[in-house]
Amino acid sequence: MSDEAAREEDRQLLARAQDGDVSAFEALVDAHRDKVYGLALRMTRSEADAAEITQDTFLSAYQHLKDFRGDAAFGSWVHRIAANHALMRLRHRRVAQAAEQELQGPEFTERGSLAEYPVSDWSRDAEEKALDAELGTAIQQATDLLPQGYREVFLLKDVDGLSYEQIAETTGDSIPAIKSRLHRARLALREAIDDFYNRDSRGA
Amino acid sequence: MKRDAALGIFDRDEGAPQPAEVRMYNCKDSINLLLEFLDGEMSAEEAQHLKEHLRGCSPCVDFLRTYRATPGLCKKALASKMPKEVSEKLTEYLRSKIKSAS
Repeated sequence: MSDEAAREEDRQLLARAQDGDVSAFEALVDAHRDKVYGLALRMTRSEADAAEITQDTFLSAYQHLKDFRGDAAFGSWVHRIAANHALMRLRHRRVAQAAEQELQGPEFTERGSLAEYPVSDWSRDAEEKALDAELGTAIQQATDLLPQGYREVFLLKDVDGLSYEQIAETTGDSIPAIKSRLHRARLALREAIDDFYNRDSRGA
Repeated sequence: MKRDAALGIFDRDEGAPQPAEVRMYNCKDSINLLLEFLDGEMSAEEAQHLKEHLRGCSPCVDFLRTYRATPGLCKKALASKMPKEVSEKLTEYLRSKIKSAS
């Protein structure tokens, strides 16, 4: 099913659910539960928390169905509810914060040049091949190592597809701060992928 | 230097402002601007300076390509599906909550 067809189906199910059709709401849950669970799991790194957040998310959605005007897609709306629940849970947890300077990035010469450092282009290989299981593990580990504020922004924007405005509304942070953290997170993850592709040539 | 039409690196921006004194971007400047560049949120002048740098800097073009590929790769690596038993519990939970609310 195309994205547009799926959104149209959501709109129809939503209209029926708002009229009190529980089976239509259950169909919406079926269509979006994997994405909501995935977001919660990536954010909290806990299966138990992810399961609870998914329950809380859909219960909140059901309780506020009448308030949802359909300006945004139903999927975006439940994503934001899930992100809010996940962030609330994370803020209550005392997660050890990695220091900002621990984020890796590219190395430059004193004159701000990359020239003395090897840069390889693995982008085509990465796009064309199925994801290597080892690379998948390396990416998961690198994501886990990001400081919490950076992980949140990266996951919400690049993995779950929220807009900068939605992330700002969800986290309470400014858009420039969000963009800055996203850029640093992308650089750190690019570095981890680069290390994976070049480990043989670097003797790792 | 490899061609990358998608990035417009070889396309001269006719009509882009040409300041009297152009400060050349170095690699560090360019990499700091990649997010805005890929979001299409740079001024015409900044984009012009960045493209000028990329035209002459093969490492930065490779860096840009891999930076651009990073989110998609991570999305693939971090995809997850809800386990069946969690899914069943969710349905059960919502049904009981909806029932008690009605």
